[in-house]
Amino acid sequence: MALNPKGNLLVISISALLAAAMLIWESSVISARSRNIGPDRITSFEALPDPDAEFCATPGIESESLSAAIVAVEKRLPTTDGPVCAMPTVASSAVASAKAEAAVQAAPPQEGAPGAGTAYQARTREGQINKKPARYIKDFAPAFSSIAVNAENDMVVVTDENLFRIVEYSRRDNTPPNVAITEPRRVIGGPDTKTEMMCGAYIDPKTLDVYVTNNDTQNWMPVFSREARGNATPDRMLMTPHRTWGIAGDEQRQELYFTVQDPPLIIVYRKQAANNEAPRRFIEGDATELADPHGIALDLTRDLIVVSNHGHKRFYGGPAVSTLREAWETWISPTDDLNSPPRRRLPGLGQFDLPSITIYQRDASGNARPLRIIKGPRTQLNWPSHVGIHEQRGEIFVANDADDSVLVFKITDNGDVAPTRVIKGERARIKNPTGLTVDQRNNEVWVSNMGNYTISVFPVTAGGNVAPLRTIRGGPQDRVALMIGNPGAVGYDKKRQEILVPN
Amino acid sequence: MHDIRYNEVNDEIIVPNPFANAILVFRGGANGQEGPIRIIQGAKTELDGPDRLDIDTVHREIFVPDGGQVLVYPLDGNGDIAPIRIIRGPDTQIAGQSLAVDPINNLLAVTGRDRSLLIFDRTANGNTKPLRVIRGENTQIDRINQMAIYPQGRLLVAAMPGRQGDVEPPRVFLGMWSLDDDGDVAPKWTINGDQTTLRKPFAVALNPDHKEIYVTDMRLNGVMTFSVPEVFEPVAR
Repeated sequence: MALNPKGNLLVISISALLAAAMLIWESSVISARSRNIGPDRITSFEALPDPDAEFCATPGIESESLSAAIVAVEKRLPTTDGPVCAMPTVASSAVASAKAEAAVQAAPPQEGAPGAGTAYQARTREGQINKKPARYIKDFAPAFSSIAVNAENDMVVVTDENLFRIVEYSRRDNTPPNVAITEPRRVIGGPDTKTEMMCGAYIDPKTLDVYVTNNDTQNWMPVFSREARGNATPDRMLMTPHRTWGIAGDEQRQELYFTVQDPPLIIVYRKQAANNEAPRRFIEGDATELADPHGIALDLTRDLIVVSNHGHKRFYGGPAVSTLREAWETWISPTDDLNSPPRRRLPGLGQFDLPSITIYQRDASGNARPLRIIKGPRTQLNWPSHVGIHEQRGEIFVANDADDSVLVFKITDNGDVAPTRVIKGERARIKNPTGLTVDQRNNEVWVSNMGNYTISVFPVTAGGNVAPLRTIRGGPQDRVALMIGNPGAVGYDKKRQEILVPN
Repeated sequence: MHDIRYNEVNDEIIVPNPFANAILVFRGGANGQEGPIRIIQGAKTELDGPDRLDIDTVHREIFVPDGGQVLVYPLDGNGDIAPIRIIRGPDTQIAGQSLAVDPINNLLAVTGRDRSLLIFDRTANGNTKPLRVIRGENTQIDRINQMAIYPQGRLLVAAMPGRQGDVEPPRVFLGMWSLDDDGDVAPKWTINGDQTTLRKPFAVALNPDHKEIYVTDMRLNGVMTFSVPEVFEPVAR
């Protein structure tokens, strides 16, 4: 993910942060403070403990807005003899409240257990430093990213980008306020599942197989059967390009559609494609106006593809030109490569364009122009993520991540148009919605909120500051999620004594 | 976004954006949906999907590894500007995924071909050979993500998350080498092992004042602080 500095809306992002640092020292329970810069999950944590303090720092509870963030703090290490403070394990965590405790309990069994790499004995000249961290910032509750619903079979499948799990609920689940969390009825997670930063989900309506996309740490699309549970090996895997994000299925034509963030493209496979199979076609090139595409949905009634774009753009000077010198199957096979499709692009050029919804003919290919583009300040688009379509109503629903809202457009909208309806406000409790799907059978919109551990269900006619029909909660109530996901870098702000974490 | 650096002299935050081919500079106190104060972007920049960077606040430069080259811009650069130096060419051996600059000892560490670390003079330009090359089985390098330098200790610290594509890589660690190391040498120190619980260390930042190293772990989606005073020992040269 990246920053979008342009337009009225987005600009940088150091997002959310705050956090829930779970630092534990004996039974101490302490909160820390943090800030988010924008929606791109740059997080800054403060404040660092006084190095001269005898114990792990206790910054205190600084902000009610971060009420749930952090739970405890360890004693600092006064010497080099090893840590005094214990790591926050599931078993040992002392939590501030029953809600936080529920979040910790929600962590999968493997959380805190040693990974394969922890056993490695490094060869060194002066020593392998094997000690517990003095402090540890982590949210032990899920970060719900994408969502898929099969109403006929009462399946709600959600991907969890924090704990690397696929969880399944009943569509009738509704977490009461006085209940810690709703336990999922099925969990798929673990190293054998080949899942990490899962950002897209699809349910095969016939087999009920679950398809998930990994974004930029694993270049696979694993498929799991209805029976898969726990650390299950996928029933099938398709090697997908680096930075694959959204997924949509066309059951009529037996095809799968994916978005790839960069190089920006729509890629279409045979539905049963597996292993290193090549795609059937691409949609890419300057004319497509694809710009960091994310969500994708199909209108099979009107034969349309609908795609959301964050707006980050590079240029080809026309159609995209592949510089691949070998067959796709050969190129994509090595699993230790990034597998980012090589394209010849104009050097140096880039642009921060406004976010958009681009609409194409379903059979579009190559450097195809969109039929329509919804883009402009009136649209309120701000990091549009997953999209859904209600074909009978002729409406597009957009999870508007950085605006904490769901936008509804007409499928015929074009240009700088205001949404028909906006679901947003305190009663709606939408927070950093990334996942969205439409249950056309029951006329419901399902939203997964990465920012507050919840899944919200609204009627398709909802608009304004309305409460959801039902809410499934997987973590503490009224707590802002930490939203650390794929933290690829870290910085230190010496002036403010803050740790900066982009995601 | 795979790098972030804080400029304590000007109180600014600098990040790369590969999807829009840009380097963004924000106020140090930026919060919420606040825009950058400067953007380096455009045809003259020669940027090609910048993923990482480092800054030199002494000589006021930004270093960007970009494929097989390193692009250098002025720290105050803005708009469509050309690099002031480019290290590129077959003699450089640069693979260019990551780098760290040492403004005190005037050195630049860059990831190189065949899982290596290349040490250049900070002012290197053109098709320049590295001063030293750290490469070989003893290095135990599989992949290097973010790097940082502790100039007073002439120490390079690199986050090594294991092989790309491994869900739980068998060989992960935070590796530390002297900037004077050369050849097939094991790290001076590593941070890894069961006590650390590190599974996929993606990034590293240093805080010499508190003698701490901050590490993000992708597999844990967490941020760890290691207190390692033994590492922050100045060395004479």
